[in-house]
Amino acid sequence: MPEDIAGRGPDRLNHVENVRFLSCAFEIRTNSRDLHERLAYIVQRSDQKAVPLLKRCVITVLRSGEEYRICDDGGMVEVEPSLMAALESLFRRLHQRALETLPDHIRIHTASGLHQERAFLMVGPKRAGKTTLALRLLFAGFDVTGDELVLLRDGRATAFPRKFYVRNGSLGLLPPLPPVPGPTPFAMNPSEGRLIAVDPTRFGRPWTIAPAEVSTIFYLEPNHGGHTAAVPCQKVEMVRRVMTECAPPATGRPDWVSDLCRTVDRARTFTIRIGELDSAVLEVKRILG
Amino acid sequence: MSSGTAWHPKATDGLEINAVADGYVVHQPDRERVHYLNHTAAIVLELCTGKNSAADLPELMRLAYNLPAAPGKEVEECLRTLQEEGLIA
Repeated sequence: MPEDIAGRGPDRLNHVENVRFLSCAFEIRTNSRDLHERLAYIVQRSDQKAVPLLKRCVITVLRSGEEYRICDDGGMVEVEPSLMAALESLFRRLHQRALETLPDHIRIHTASGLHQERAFLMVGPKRAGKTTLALRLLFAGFDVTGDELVLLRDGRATAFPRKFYVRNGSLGLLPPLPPVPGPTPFAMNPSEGRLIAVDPTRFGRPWTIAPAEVSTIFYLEPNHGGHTAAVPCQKVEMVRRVMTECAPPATGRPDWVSDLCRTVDRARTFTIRIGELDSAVLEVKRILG
Repeated sequence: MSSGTAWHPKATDGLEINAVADGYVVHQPDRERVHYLNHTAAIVLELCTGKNSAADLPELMRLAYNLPAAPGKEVEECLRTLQEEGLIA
């Protein structure tokens, strides 16, 4: 039986959470208190006033026995066998729906931040150290806006507002995280293991999501255990590297490569070989000025 | 590769050529391919107007770069690559 209050019936979706991902606002309704509590893994409260709201969606998650039935605006879409699977599925669905609302944007796999009202990107392959460097920069007082995804359109970058997901193994590279009330939200990911969700507002600074011109692009190359060094990167090479970490707009708008090229050409471009992290923070600070 | 003085290489129709500070990024939307050209390859592609013959290109490159000798072999190699990639015909 679901864990709802006796007498109200198992199907009452009386746990409600609201969250916004860029132009899409979601209302999540569920009859599962467990799932509702676990939504802290997904839900964030970044300031997105600068992004136009275009769509509202209702997603319901009905626990029935051990199963979780996820319905998207009325139509059933998925049945998941466990709480963790339901959470993962919901996470994917929210992101997918939010991205569908902005189909003209290029998606770039990158960490990002704002400095003097312009964006800086930290592009790199998986395990290059994007999240770890992003968190170290937060500790150093930078306005880091994302650790994973940026949407680009007409040379303006908007961080996708998701919490930073830190691998258990990377925690040792960070100072102790600022405390949060209640348990630390986490999920088990089949490929990454235990991932801890970190809200950037824990660092005492506002978390503002706003489109901004790109001033600087860093490409992160892992050099774990070695020295950190930052060197200028040629534009053609940076376009090639960013291309490997991006997906074209869903609409297939024909000028997307030009958009990306112009963005890279206008930005200052650097390769950072990420070794020792304190030096990496100093290099970013030196370059951003 | 097409060759000889009769060949007047020309950039393929439909290419979206994007100049950046140190080269070109060429998008072929119909083939969903992107090519990254260094400065030299970018200039060779620019010279492929359909009016210059392949045999003229080394001398044009010599003039462009103020070289002591025309880079015949390098231009030939570059033309071959551009043709193989479908950027010129």
